[in-house]
Amino acid sequence: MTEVVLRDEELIKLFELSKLEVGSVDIQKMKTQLSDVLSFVSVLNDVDTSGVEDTAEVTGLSNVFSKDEGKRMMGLEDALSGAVSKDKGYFVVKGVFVEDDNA
Amino acid sequence: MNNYTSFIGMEVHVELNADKKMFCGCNASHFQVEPNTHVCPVCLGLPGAMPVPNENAIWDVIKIGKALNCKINLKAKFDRKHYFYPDLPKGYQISQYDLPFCFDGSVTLSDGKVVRIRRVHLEEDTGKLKHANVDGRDVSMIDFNRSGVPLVEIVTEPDMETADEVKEYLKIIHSLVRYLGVSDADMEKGSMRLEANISVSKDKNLPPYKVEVKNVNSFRYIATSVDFEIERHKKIIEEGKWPAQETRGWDINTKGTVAQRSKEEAKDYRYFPEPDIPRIVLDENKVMEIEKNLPLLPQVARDQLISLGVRREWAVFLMEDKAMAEYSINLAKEAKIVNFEVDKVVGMLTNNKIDWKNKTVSEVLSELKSKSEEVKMDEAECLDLVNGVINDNPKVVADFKSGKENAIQFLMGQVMARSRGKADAATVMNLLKQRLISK
Amino acid sequence: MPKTIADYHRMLLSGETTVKAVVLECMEKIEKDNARLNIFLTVNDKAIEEAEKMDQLFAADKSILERKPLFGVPVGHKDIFSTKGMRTTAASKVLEEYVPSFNATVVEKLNDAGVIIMGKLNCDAWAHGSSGENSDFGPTLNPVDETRVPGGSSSGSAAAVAAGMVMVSTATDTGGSIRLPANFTGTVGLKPTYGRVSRYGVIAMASSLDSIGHVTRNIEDNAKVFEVTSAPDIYDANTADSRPFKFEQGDVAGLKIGIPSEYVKTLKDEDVLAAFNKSVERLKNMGVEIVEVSLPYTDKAAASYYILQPAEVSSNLARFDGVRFGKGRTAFGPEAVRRMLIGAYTLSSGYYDAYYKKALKVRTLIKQDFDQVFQGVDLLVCPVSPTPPFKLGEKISDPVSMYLSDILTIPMNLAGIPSLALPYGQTTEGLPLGFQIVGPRYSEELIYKVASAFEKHE
Repeated sequence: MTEVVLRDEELIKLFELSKLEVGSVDIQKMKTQLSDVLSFVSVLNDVDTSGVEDTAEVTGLSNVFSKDEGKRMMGLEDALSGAVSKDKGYFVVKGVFVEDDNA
Repeated sequence: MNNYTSFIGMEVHVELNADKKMFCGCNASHFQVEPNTHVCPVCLGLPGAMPVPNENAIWDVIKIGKALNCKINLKAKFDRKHYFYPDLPKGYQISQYDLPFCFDGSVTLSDGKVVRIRRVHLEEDTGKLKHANVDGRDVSMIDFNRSGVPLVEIVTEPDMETADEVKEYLKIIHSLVRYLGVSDADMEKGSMRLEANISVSKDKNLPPYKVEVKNVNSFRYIATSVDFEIERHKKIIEEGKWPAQETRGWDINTKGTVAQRSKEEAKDYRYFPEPDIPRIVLDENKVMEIEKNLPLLPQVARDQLISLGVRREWAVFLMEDKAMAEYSINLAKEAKIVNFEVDKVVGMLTNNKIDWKNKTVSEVLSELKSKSEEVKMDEAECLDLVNGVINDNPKVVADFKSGKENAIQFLMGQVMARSRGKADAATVMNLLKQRLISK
Repeated sequence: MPKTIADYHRMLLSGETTVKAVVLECMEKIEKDNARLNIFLTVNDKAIEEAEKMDQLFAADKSILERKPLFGVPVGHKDIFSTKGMRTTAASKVLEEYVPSFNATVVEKLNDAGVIIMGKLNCDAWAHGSSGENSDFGPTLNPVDETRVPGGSSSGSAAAVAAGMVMVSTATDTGGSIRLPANFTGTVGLKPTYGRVSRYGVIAMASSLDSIGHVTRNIEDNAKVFEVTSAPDIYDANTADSRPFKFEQGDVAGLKIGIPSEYVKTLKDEDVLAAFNKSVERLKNMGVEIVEVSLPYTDKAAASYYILQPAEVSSNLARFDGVRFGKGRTAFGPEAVRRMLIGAYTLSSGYYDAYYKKALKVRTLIKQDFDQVFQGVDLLVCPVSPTPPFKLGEKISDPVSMYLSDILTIPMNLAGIPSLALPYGQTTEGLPLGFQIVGPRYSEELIYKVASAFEKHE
């Protein structure tokens, strides 16, 4: 098992990637716990996997295509039912000005 | 400022005109539809909902890939691409990462330039954001009708060098998806979206930066922004620096580009294979069938026209619409058979002088034939008219002689009018010149 | 409460009981014990009314029992199963007020089979945990010994059955989350073949590992429920290969059952080891041939799992942004945060190959272990937990020690194979013990056959 020690900057970046607020947890405790887990899983480094394929899924299935007839289309009321903030049929969020990632 | 090489790659997103969305059975239409009415737990990203892929959309991408000369990954998969944005309900987009459906294709421009296609892949569209001000607060209003609509992404290598090449490439893509009938590629409706990646260097090597230009929804503006960027980059490079790697948007007010993001780190999308969707294994025979059954393609139509004698710019223009392209090829072929000047005849089509929608090629050609068989004025008759016009317009003649070259056009027009079209224009011009210079 | 569903229906037909009587009995238990045991997060206040309606339907047409195999059965749903119109929290503050507008497929199927929903059951928040102590709404206590955990993450599911508050609970098993609580409460818990039961509408934890199962008091009831839930679903692509299940009982003499040595080696607790050995003896007495087998990569399973599972968790929790439903991301508890951060780390560029891709390869090796072993034996029998039910608070402060509770259950999830946890024996203090019967994909028919014969063996 390799000892993994997470650096503070790395931890902060993980919070950003996960859109979680750093202020919500005890940061030093989290750093230790994460480092413990990462050290624990690093035992895999010793496993010889040369020539071994990835198993991304266990079913062996392929080519499963949609037979959905659109029966699940929700009415507007249901669609908006969970939203805290809505207006005129839209979900409403604080103004976002940075251009989105998708073209 | 010479010796610069520009490197331009295009990323084009094309919305398929599918009935159903990419991963659920919702109605995929969203233009002028009441917001949030074409949604279900899947495309709304509700807890517990899962994607199941739309097979038709997959074959549409294969068609596009084959039309772009691509190789096909018979074993393909979908991957999750993670980032946070309010219009992305799951916090990830289902897309394709390392096994896209199509790769390694190419498109040849009319001057022979080859633009390599790096990949063509399938993904889902996001919802739509509308900015507004409600009760004094700046807000964004989100409509998820567009979320989950099938989207094809076509990426080129940075092989283009000028705004003209970019425009021509885009015209080909725009036409191609419409020829195939897989998309209406309407830039205004957003069913075709453009993004340019631009860099410039002093030598032939790809420089260590690139600028993304987004938010441009017309060929004209993308051309202008490409020109703008190339100049902007050259100036910075002249100062001995590299332009910042960033994303910029086209600003219609300043007619230039503006930086859109303050920090530009490489985005970490944390791709991994989509566990909810079993892999895709395409039937090679079906792929070959698709290749065999491809309709006429715009690049092919263009090249056919050129080889039949039509000039380049007109061939590019005519390839835009499939029906028009097919008609003009027919017209060119038939014109050639009856020994008409192909370029001239097709030129009439380009200049809107032929009612092609209502007349068959044979009708058009026989009309032209009879017109040309009309007894044309002989040279002596022409000379009479020429002399007559010269005598009747002494001032214009004087203008011509004193250096106003264009005056001859006026005289020409007069002769043609008097001849009621029966004079041959070239003959008239020759005679006019002879008479005016000698007199 | 009738001992089995079959008894229940017999008693309805003979007039010995009514749906209302059974539901009332459950409701009374809930009213008496729920505040203390913290099993239900939401109770269906219409349950008695619905029971009355069912009694009317039955009175009008007794043959309804043939069409609805779970008619009148009081059911609890783990609070990650979407129930239309009924609050579904995932035991997290984020969804404290979330009311789904659709039913999970399994909920729908059970409804069609005639169940009565008693309410929604507590669990570790987002199904992250092995003890029930990660619930944002307080831990569930083990009804058998209230100082101890009932196991997790399906803590409320197992406890509700053990406490007599329901006859059936739905649950999920991603790394042992049905089998461990079944084992800790003396109940029967099924983790089916991955992809045999639809995940549609169940709040996803780790998409390639989540198995949708259930907990009951006995084998026969467990099989009856599986007959309803086992089927393909067009809304879950991974069920394309699924098929119906039919419970078969019969002689199992001559079957070959393997005991993986690596599993038995982990048993340090004398009571657990003794009970396990006794169960193996009983199988032998049934005419089963016991063979020692080896699953060499067993000790790498937990590491592979704790890379793959948090990665998928970090992805599946990305949709909880407070825009379309739920509260924002500040409402996540510490365990969820921990798993999302680990997931982000192992998926980030630069680490993906060393962690995620590596774990995918080790997963192959673990799956191959099972494939090879099943060439030589029909089924496997192994312990579920290295220890009997532990005390509340014993492991909660050290995540890694908590993760190690799962080492005997994780490998089956990685391989996608089914396993049934059944009770057998007790510790000297009367704590429940048991074992699991494991088989290749789609071997549940054989597993239940053996389990039923075991349960009935004199």
